[in-house]
Amino acid sequence: MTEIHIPLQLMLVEDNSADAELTIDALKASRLINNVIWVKDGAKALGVLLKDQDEVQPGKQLKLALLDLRLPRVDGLEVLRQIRANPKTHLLPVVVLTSSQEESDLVRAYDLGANSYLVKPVESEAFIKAVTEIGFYWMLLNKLPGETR
Amino acid sequence: MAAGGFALASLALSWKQSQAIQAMAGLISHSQAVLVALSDVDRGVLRGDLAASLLRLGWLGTASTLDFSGAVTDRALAELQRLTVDNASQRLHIARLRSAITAARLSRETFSDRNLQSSMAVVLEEVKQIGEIEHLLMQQRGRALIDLQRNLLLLQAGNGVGVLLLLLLTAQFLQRERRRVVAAHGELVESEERFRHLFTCDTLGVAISRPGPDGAHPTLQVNQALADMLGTTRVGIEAKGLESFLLDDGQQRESEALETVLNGGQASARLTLQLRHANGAAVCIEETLFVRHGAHQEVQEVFRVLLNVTLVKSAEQALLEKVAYTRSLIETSLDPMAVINAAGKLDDVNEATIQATGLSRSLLVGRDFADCFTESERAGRAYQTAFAEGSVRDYPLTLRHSSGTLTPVLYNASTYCDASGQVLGVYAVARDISPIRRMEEQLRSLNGSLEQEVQERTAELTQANQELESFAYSISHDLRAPLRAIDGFSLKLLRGYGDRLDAEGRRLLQVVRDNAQRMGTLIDDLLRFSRLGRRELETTRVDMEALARTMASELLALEGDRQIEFHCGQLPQAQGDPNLLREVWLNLLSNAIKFSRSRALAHITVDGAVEKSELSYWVKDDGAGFDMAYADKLFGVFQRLHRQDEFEGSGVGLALVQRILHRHGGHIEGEGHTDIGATFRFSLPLPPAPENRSASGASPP
Repeated sequence: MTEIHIPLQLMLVEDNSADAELTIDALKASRLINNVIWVKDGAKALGVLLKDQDEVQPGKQLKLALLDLRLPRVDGLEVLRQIRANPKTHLLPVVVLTSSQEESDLVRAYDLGANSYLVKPVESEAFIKAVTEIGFYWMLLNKLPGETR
Repeated sequence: MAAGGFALASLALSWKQSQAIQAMAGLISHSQAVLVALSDVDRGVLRGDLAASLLRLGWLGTASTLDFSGAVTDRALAELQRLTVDNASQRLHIARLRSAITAARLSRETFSDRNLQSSMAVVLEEVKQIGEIEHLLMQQRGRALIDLQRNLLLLQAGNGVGVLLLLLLTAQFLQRERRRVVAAHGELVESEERFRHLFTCDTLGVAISRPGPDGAHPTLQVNQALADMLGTTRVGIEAKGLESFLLDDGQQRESEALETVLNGGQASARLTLQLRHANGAAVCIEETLFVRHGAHQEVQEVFRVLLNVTLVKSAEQALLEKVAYTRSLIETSLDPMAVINAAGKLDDVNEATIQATGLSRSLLVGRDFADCFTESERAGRAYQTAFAEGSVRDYPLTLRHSSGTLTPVLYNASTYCDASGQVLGVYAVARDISPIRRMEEQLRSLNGSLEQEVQERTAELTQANQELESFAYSISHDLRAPLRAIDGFSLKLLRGYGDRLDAEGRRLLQVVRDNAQRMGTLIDDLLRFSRLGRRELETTRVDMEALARTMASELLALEGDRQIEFHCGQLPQAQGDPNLLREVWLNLLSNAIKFSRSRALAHITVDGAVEKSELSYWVKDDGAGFDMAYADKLFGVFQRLHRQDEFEGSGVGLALVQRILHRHGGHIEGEGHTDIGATFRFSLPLPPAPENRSASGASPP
């Protein structure tokens, strides 16, 4: 596995701390990510992304948002909508990572501009594998506009 | 010379007297001629009347008699007129007589009985008057002749020549008179003969009676026809009197009629009577009663002419009953019926029409048909159409009752014609359709409430579905998260702390993980079942064979080194949702693969056929099969016929298949034998288009 030197940021929007822990475990185990910004609700996520510039600089260090859909205060789809509506963040890759297999959620998520949609598997090995692959792809392989590297 | 002069004078006187006698005798014979002509008129008229009555009763043979009588009457009248041309008073009566006769004929032709009777009374009265005048005249002339003859006899003594001359003249006159009388007698004999002929006619009963001293009219003479009519003898009737044969109030009615005739109220009377036949039966008789007067107005004889009309009456009665029956049917009809004439007026209506319009029969008859309806113009068109086209069917109109109530009706009308095919009018029948309208209204309102109920139910159902959806959403999200935590943290425990647990500890943790995962599968299957059930069907033509083959090859590819012989026949194309039908094949084929895995070489066969009313497909395996005793549990959700450690699965697959097929209008059934195999056979409706691929020819196992 390649050593990562450039600090890459990933935002995890997840209200379930068990899921968050397992996700972060998987990401860290793959040694892809060492800088995960974990927020527990949609309002907080929007606050970080659109208002507070302290923790993150979109487009430069933030490479990906992993977004759950059912979130307290502001739900995931609304977060997605606002991310896409805002010129600062509208190009940010957003991967929906959720328990919902509802067709309607899938359609709305893609409608609003989700880059990918993943249903969290119950089986842990599969879950770890999925998160690892997401990280590998979006953090390493995927190229965003304006990236020097 | 004086004597000679006297004699000459006497002779002259005698000659003059004889001239006067001759003239008087001529006048007398003239009067006689008048009377003969008059009696001819009288006879002609009476015979004509009789013949006309008979004709009316159906004695068609008397038509010629009627014409003959008319001719006789006319000839006699002309003669009478010629004879009385110098007598103003007689001419007046004769003019009246002639007009009365004409009036009588007219009345007869127009069947006006009342006019006929009054005309006949005038005729008889005038005949009587003329006769009386002429009789009086003849009496005066007779007396004058006697006086003249007496004078001549006086002269005779004085003048032999005159006497001789007179005698000569008288002889000549008498001879002429005798010839005249003989001629008159011949006429009389002929007339007598005619009447005798009538009297002996075998169809017309005649009874003649003469007024007796006590005001009774004992029967004098009857003819054989009458005796036959009553089944008795002439003597029998003559002895008992015709009156004694009358039934019911016949005697009273007859004597009343006779009274009227005798009092000169009318010339004759006609009445229908019941007479008793010798066998006890009633004989229906049409009787004409008239009186013969003497020269001095005294009643000479009463004539009764009787005609047996029993048959006519019974035929008439039968006809009347038939007519009454027909009429009662028309009146009993609950549908308003009407006859409309060419002018669009009502000619006849039945009781139902009276009820429907609230108008009396007399108000309805003559009324405009169209006026009975709300839209009189359309109603007018209805009968005009019937007139023009011969009939009109189920023409909707609205009848207006006088109270304002409206009745919706359907009119059916057709024309009716006379024997020659000439259209006389329209026969129209209305059918009250207000009950139907009411039912339609009820149906509409029921439909409306049903519609409302359906909407309410649909709303409730939609609500329930939404709740179910949000429930399913909760399950998928909220239940799976803890399961993932159980499994994830068990794994974390195993990885991080596995070296501190012994084998049993690790096994226990693995059991926790297995069950968490199994529950996840159950939830996933349940969600899939729920989702597929709710999904809108997107139907299209589906190549079932391709679908089955694709699914089979995908599934078989997962089976690695298993030996499975798969055979797929020609499957008919179906109409359905391809995604859902894919689920059907997926479940049935994976079941077949799963349950046949104990076989070293498994056989799985797929086939299908076009049946009479549906498409049929089946999947057959030679696997574990099942006990048919539990066949009813095959398609229940979470129902399993095998232990989890034998064959894994959630028990949702077949339930899902059945749900999909039901949504397509099809069905499924399973047949199995433990350790022999199972066949699942499902059906789908025939596709709408006829362009089916022909059936494989295989029949269902």
